[in-house]
Amino acid sequence: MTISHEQAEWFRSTFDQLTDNMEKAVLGKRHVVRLALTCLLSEGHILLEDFPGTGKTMLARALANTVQGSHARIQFTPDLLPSDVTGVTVYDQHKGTFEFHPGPIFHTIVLADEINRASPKTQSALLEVMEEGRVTVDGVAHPVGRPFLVIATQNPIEQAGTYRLPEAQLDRFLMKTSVGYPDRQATVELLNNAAVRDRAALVTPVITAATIAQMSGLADDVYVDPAVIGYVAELAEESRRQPHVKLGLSARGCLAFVRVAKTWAAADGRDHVVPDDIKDLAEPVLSHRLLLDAEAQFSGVDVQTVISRLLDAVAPPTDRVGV
Amino acid sequence: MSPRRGARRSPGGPGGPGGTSPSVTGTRTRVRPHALLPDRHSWTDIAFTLALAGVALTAFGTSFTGVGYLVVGMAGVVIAVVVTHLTRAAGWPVVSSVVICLALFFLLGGPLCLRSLGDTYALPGGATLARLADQAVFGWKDLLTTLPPVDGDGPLLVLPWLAGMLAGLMGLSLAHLPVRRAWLAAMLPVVGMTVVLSGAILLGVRHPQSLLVQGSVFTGLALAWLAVRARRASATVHGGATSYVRGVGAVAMLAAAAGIAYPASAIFTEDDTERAVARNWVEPPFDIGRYPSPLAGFRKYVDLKGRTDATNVYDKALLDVEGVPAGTRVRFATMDRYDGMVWGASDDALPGPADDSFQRVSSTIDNPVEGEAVDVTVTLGEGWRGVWLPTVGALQSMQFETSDARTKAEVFRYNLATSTAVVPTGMQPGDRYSFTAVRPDDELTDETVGSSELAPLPSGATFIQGPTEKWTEDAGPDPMDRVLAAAEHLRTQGRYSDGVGRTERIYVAGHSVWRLSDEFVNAPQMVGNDEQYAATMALVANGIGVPARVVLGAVVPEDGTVMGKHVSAWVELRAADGSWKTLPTEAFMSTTPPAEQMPETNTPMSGTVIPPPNPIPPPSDAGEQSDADLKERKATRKKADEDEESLIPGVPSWLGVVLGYVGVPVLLVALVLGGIVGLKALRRHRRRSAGSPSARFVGAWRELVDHARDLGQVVPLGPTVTRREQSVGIVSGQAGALARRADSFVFGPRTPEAGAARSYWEQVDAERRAMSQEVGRWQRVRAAISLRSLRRTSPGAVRGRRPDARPEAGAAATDAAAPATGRVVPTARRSRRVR
Repeated sequence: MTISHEQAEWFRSTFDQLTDNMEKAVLGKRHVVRLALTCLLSEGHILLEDFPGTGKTMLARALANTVQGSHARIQFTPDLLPSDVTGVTVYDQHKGTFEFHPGPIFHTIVLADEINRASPKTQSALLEVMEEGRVTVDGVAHPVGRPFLVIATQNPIEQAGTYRLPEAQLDRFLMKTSVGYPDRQATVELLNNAAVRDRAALVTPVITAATIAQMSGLADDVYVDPAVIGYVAELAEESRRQPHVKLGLSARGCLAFVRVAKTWAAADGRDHVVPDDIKDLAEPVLSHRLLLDAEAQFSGVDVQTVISRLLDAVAPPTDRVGV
Repeated sequence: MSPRRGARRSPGGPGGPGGTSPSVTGTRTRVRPHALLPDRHSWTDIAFTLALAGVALTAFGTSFTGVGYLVVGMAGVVIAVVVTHLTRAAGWPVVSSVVICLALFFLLGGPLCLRSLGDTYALPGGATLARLADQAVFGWKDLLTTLPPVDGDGPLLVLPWLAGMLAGLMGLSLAHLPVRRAWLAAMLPVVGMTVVLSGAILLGVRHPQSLLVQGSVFTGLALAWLAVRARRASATVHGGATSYVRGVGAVAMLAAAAGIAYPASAIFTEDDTERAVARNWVEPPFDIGRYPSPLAGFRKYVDLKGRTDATNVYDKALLDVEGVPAGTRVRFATMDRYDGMVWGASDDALPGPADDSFQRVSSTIDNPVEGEAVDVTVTLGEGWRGVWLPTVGALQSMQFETSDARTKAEVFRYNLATSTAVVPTGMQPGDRYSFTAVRPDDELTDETVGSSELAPLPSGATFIQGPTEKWTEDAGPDPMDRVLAAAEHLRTQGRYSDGVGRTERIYVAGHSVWRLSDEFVNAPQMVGNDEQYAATMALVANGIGVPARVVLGAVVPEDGTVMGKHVSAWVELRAADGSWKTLPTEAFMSTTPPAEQMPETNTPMSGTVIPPPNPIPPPSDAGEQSDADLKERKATRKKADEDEESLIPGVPSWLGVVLGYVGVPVLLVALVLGGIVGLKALRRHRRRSAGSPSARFVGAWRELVDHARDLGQVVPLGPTVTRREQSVGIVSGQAGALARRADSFVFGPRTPEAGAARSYWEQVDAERRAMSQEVGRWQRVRAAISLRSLRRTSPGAVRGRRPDARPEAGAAATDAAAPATGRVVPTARRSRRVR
């Protein structure tokens, strides 16, 4: 079953509406907005890494507001406990039973602000829910529902009071990107409307959770030619062969790559994935999944450099594989 | 016009001197008033090109009279420089400047170079074009076989005209040739101008004027240009000396180099006999040997004593000489080689590099001989026909004054060593010509010492040695004394007869070995006339060791009219100083007639085989040729030459030459260009008819990319570049949509159909046409013959194709495309993603 042209066109139209809606709050960051929406529709999670004051939280709140669903914000601090995120089971003296009190993770969209300021133990509390969409407390699994999106922000790890996210945790995020500073035009517009204290409040819900789930289902039906799949596989293999790379693209990463590419293609009104989708998404999908060795830093090699070399090393397909 | 096409890259590159543009930062920027005007560097290159070309052209100075050659040559340089600069400023290829210069060469060549022939029209006719082409191809040989200096207004001016154009074209084109290596870029134009100078020197003379000055000036200019270009190509030196100090230093070093080179070269070039010029090796295309010896026809000048012979000119006027006193010797011809049959004129009879060949000469002859200058006018009489031109002394200039003077001047040849002149087209009664000459001192005195150069006795002439020894046994060891003793013996012991009288007919004409041996020196009585005496005397002198030659001529009488009876043959002996001294006829010829008795003859006896006598050349017919005969022979020979030299049988030689030297290269160029167009058509056909519809989509897109590249657009290439990325670089309204459509068919869920591929090809073809319409006609032509899209940009593009990928019917062989699916690109190619 493949998505039809009409469905693809509806997908693109809806996606553009969502993007336009979010841009009311996030000025001049259409690409980042589209990436965040792609994450949402791919049922993945996004990690935003940037300096304070660049609009990470604003983006997360705008995304939460644009979907007709619940959302919560968790401010990660060093003393935050896992149960503060997932919830706790308490004894009800009136009923004489243990009762589960869900934590803030039980929302459609969860903003995990400054996630790397929490201890690794608390960070790990997100592992299960991000991968499986449920929380297990005292042996009882509690599903968080669909759609479910975690938007995590983190400060650069060089800053004081931060903990590096474990690789397993990073792999749970579908994408990692940065918002960046607004350009001059966006800054001027922002300053002209300085009276608006909460720009995220300007964003009103335009889509229901059910529609989100429907769009996710359509994205799953986008066609990926074997040649493109081979391209992704070759990129994964090459990522493990690249110098200075200690940890390459995992199988989970490959799956995420294809999944997000499907959504990205549908957002462009296409019923198929082209190699350009893979190249467009390479950096946000790969940047947090590639772990470089210690020599890379001394050699002046960063993740972006490795990804650029990777794309230079693997030729995208120009023709389909034999039918 | 799109911004991409409108933004032409400046010659000096971004930020370079040629790339000045109005600054938006407020800083002062020098802006060229017009794109066609040269910038500072271009002015420098143009100035050096003009200067070096001018110096190179002065190498023709000793080959031409006057400065006309320099004016014409510099006109060629200036025109070529202007054309080259303008075509470059307009962004046209180098070949366009060559074509324009070629057109201007033919268009202006007539008025500039062929004025003397009347070709002064701006629009040249066929004859003018043929003459220009002929001179451009064969003029060098005419120049080399013409005794310099050549007339400064003749057709050979085509050579400096052509050389000037070549110099201008080569100098400025090479100066702007994009070469990656800085040293090579700096050196190329200098090397080009050196080649021009070398060519001019090769076409020059063995003893040029101002050789050292010319070499020093050229070297200085070349070094300066080299330094300027090298400095321009290298990075700016920060913290070094100021430009003023560097400039003064450079000038000082150049001056020092020139100051050292000048005296040094004077030492090394003291003996310039080894100077290599093409004139040393090029043989004049003229064979004097084809004309019969005038000495063999001497008997047409003798008194027939009542007998009638139409060819006899004894009492006819041969020539009327004005400007010289009576008693002056007029030379008809000098015969310096004996072949056993006759004494004849020859080329290259003297040993060493002497100017002893018959060369074409202009109206002015460089003939450095000391003596009395005379200004002579000769009018040929009724008795003179033939190719030999009577002259006096050593010629300095020659002017033909009759109606066909120009024709005669063109074919006129002169031998400096023998002072003999010929007009191969023949001279007619009534022809008039005047010349200036120098009469050297040719009197043989007692103090004259014979030349010690050994002149080998001709084969077959050894018969003379025995009699010579006998005649000179009392003369002592001095060669000249022996020669004079032998002459005295001949004069006193010989007898004179023209073989006319009934009893004297046995004294036959000719001076073959048989006639001179058996019938003269070894006969009981030596009897003969000027022919036999002069021939024998010259052989005797050569046998003794004094180089000698026979001269046929006449002594001018009181009234200046030379008649047949005044003709005589004398001998010239070479003195030790290299000059030739006259041994007059009276010194070795008897005037006493033989006794009236029948000479002894062998009576034929039965059983004895009498060998037939040696053939005797007819006295009159062999000696001279009628004008009709000469023309007939010339016509026959010309036709034979044309048939032989024509490159294409049945086609006139000039047309064959034009077709051969112009048509064949043009045809080759056309074939190459046609081959390029054909290759592209074949590639397009293969792509269009690829095995799978999917491959046809891929091929159609590649066709669009190649078309954009051929149009000069910078399209990203390489195995890692996708169609969408390429579409960004293509200046086309539909490129993005076409790339998207190709991707949708190739990577879409449905298998593409042949009809869709056909439709896609039609869209691509329409887009290609639209792209071509956006550019000018010339750029469309350039795109059609451009090799950019045919060049393989990714050697491994096909090698990495996976076996399961669809083939593209071989079209990928020339494509800069990636494999059908993802693969690792070789490291060497990763740095060439975008071209």
